[in-house]
Amino acid sequence: MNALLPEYGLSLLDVLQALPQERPLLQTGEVRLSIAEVVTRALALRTAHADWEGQVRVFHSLSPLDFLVELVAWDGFCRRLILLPSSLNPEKAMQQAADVPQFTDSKSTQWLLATSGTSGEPKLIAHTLASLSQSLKRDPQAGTCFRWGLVYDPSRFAGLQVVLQAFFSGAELVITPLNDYDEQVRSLVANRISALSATPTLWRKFAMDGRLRDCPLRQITLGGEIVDQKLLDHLRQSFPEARITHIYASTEAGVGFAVTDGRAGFPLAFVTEGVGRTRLRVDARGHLWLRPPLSPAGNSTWATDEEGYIDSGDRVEIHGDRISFLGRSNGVINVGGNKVHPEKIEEVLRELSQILEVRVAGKKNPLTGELVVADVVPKEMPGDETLRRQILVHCRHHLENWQIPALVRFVPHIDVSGTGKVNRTGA
Amino acid sequence: MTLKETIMQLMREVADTTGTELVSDLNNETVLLESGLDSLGFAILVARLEEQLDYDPFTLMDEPIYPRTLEEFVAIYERFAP
Repeated sequence: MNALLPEYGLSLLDVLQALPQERPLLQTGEVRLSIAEVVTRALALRTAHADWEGQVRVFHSLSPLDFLVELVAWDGFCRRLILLPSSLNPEKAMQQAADVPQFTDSKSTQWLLATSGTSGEPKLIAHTLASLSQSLKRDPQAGTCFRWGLVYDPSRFAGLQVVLQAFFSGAELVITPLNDYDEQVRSLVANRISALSATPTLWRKFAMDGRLRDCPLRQITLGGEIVDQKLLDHLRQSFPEARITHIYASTEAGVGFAVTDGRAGFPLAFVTEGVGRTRLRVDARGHLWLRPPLSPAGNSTWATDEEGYIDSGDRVEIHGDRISFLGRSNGVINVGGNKVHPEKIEEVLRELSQILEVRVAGKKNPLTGELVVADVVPKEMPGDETLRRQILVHCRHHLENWQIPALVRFVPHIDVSGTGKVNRTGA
Repeated sequence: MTLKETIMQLMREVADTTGTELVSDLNNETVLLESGLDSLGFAILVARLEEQLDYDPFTLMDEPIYPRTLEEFVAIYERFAP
């Protein structure tokens, strides 16, 4: 029996109602809800707010459990859902939301998700349940075998993929606290999680931790950053029973593909023959373009070419039968899954009067994928650590941890390319 | 300075620049993730060590090794010292 397909205008509630109702679905700390209980809560919300039908619902600062129950309540009921991570300013987001066109097909609820965008300012992109779930496995029989751990924010793309995978296959989802690493690991082990999706940086942290060896993991998924071969080898050695999948997902294209052959990168065959119903192309500059089976509904912001391909903005390199990822074409730095825009960091650094010029770039790091590094041309070459200290204090006031340059080098001048732009090939 | 002393000194520096605090009784058995540095801190430590020592053992190694304690961390640097 296959789960119902949302391509036909079915909602999350329809999907859940078609599954065996007594199955456990959501767990967080003290609370455990079966599919039936989630459905009951969702229906009660609809009854309590009947006037919200066809309206816009904004999700902000909800607990993960409430967030998920409300997703079930409002998909297929409201016209549009706006999912804001708690870090995003609601007013700014609502202004942006007003600019996103409504679909002409009114059957599907439009989901607006936050992404870090190409210029560093958060951007909302539109999806439907159908476009978000097009890569997911739908077999509810398989679902009984897995218990998923959620270590991502459920309001963002990666977290939603885990949530929807659990919902579609009728598997139990254990919500772990995002801000308490120790409790998170304890919860994963105590609940005997058998399926887990996390960034390579978090997997390396788990590897250093060692406690996760007690989890009966049978599905290991990696995504959000470039995956390296050493990490894949380590995971295979630690969890010989597990299927290891690394996912490349483009928020722009709304989809990506999965690699399960245990090798970093992906097969050339994905380009020559396609992968699933997705088609790939690599252009002369090494950019990867994707044509997803369903376009991210209503996104006129992402430029597609005449054949429906979208530029992912990721640079790749072909070696024989294998293609590997090099990084973002726009120089965006990925620190443990967190995107950093070098221009923004440079702007912050330039506020210091002692700095004449600055170049910020990414430097490869074996633990977090990349780190932010800065080359600084100071007014005067420092004789001691005072300027470096001032730079770091200034950064701490204006930037998140992962955005702060890990290395600051004082240089006499900075390379400028032929176009007059700063040379960002990195350190 | 021995390799271990270099590492511990840089750990203190990184803790200082990232606004975190190392545990007072840092020793061989200290579990790295409980030392006061978080995973970003360790990434920065590896970068600073590379800057100072001119090598990064995590990049040099063929087999994946993920150190759990300070002793294991130091051992990796000793093993791959050029």
